[in-house]
Amino acid sequence: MSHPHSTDEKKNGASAPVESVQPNECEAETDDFKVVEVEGVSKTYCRNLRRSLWYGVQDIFRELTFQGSYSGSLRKEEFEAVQEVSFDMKRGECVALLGPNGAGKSSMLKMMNGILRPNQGSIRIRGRVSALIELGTGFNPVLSGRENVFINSSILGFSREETEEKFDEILEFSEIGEFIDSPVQSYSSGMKVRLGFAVASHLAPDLLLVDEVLAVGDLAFRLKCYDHLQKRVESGMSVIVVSHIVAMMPRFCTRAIVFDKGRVTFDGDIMEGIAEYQKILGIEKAKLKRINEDDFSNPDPLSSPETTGVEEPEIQPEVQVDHAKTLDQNGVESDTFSTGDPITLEIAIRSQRDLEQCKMVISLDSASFGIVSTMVSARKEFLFPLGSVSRKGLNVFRLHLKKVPLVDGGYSFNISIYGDGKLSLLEQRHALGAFKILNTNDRRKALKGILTINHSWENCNDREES
Amino acid sequence: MKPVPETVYSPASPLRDPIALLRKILRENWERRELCSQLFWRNIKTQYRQTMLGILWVFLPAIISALIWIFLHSFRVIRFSDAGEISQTAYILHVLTGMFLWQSFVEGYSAPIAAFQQNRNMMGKINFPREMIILVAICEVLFNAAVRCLILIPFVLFLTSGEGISAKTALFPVVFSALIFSGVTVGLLLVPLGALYLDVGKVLTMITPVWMIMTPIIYPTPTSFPANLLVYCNLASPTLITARDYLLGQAPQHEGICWLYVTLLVPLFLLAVVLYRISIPILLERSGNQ
Repeated sequence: MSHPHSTDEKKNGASAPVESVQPNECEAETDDFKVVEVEGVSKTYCRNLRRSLWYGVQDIFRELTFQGSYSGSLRKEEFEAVQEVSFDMKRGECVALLGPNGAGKSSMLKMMNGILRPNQGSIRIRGRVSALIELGTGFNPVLSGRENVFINSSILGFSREETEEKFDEILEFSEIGEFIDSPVQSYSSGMKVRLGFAVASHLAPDLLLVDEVLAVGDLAFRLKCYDHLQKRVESGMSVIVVSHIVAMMPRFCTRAIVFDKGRVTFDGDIMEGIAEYQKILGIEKAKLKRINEDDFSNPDPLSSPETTGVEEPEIQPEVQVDHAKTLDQNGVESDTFSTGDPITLEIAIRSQRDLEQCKMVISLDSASFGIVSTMVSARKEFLFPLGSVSRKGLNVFRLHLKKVPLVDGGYSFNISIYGDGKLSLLEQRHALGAFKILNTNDRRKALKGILTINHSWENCNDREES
Repeated sequence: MKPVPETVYSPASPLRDPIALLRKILRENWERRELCSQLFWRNIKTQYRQTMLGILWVFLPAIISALIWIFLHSFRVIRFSDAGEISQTAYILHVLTGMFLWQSFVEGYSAPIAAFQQNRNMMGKINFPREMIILVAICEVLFNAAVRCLILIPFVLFLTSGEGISAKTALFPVVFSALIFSGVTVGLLLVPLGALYLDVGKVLTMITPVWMIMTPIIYPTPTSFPANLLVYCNLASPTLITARDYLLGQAPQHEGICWLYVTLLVPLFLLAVVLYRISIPILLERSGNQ
């Protein structure tokens, strides 16, 4: 899909390219003023470096012959990192782009920043854009912090006068102190990052793009950065944040756009978005675990059937989890619950032979916090037999969790099955039965953290008086 | 009320209106001219901060090369039968001037690819006019050329006692700048291919000494066929020879072809700038530094 407008064009902008659309000054003042409009954007990359370089030569030739970016069908070894993504953003909105690694978030951000060009669709940005992508880009190690502040801010679009005006603020925020006149090569990595953030964050664009830079520095500085960002959002700046540290997102983001395999799978409320992201993360984790196990089970690649050419029979483990799913209080399959709901985990196990005295250990896992709780069947004196698949088919068990006190987020289960004996691990699977907790009807339950603890309050002063 | 700037990024070709594209490139770079001076002074400061000889490196390689050739000539290891005998003073002026001009030309054609490689990471993170790094590189080459002139011109005046000064001497800076810009244009045209394939940089390193031998720097300008093809088929020769003739007050032998090259240089340079601009997103995407 080719957009009718000419590419990378801009008017009245300070740093980036622009378009021939006249600015609408009245519209700019309304609440519905759209700062970003993304329509059907796709971006392709090539897996093979040599082929990618050759495609690069071809693409330059296409540009020279007035054909624009390549937007035809995928060429050999190409894949779509971003696929037909569409969304828009109003002035003053703060949106979190969430998704596992390789989902297409950073590519999207780079296209919005004008670094990369889309292969399909169009991105329309109204206002000045700044990006916090890699802090301290352009810092020269032999120059002093002071010299680097002026150069860095100039690269980011500040004039010398603007920098001089903000210099004290930048210095104070960075906490560099007297080291400002020392060469940057004598700074610790934390100092460099602080100075980089201080310079870049004191810009005043209409749209700020933040890519993973909030994960750097010590905790105190990170909190300071979050506070600063929150203030900028409150002052009406539109912000797009890409980060894997989702716990802090609800503090300043109201909306989440979740990417998975290049597509937008969710666009809406931040808490729902985080839950969706954590669910995807749980599934990804399970896949990764499975791949690693497969690699481990065949450590010598030279003896694999692919290299020896000898077809070997597929070895099945004795016991396998066939599937696991979550059920609601009516026994109906569901992957969305509210805080305090009962949740039942149904596990189907396939066994190659009859086994006695088996045990199960199930951990409840949060994608961002880790293991929340572990349930051991033996501690409840629940030892069970497993019938062979030829005789009995699947063995189905249910684990009932009463009044689950989890708050909004994505969760899954890690399941281990043991035979008769302490070290007889028969099967281990991660991130099965992924589900999310969402309190859409009662926002009071959507608290920070991971659990709501049953508690009560008491005023001791009243007791003393009585 | 300040109007809101609007940007549209799409796959459509920016070359549909090349004049508008050129105007946009010029406007953006003009608006950010302060950045050019900031980056220029940053590079000048940092270039020599960690050296012992400092700015001497601007002219030391040319002087050492020239001294070697002067030494060889003075001991008659090399002789130029075509042009007859050349006095030692004339040869010193010929080689030293030629070496200084050649060094600036080489810096000119290697600057764009080097500037792209050095700034690729920054360009992959921050959106600023991409031509700025080329402008900064040109300013550095011109700065080095000016420093060399500060050494060369008094030396020439001393050896010639100012006899060669004429109205045409005033054209020396123009033709010298044209020589540098011809190098920059070649380098800029090679950036798209050079950024994708490292072979280009290796080939440039390989051909530079050969190219120097094929340019009348250490020997007098050939006048007879086929040796004079070295002048006509060599991009660097006409401007280098003419600049040297202007500076040394000699009768310019290839003035016509030199000015023809200078005239052709303007559209060629603009074409190189446009090619560079449209290639950058592709290069940033493909050359491994995003």
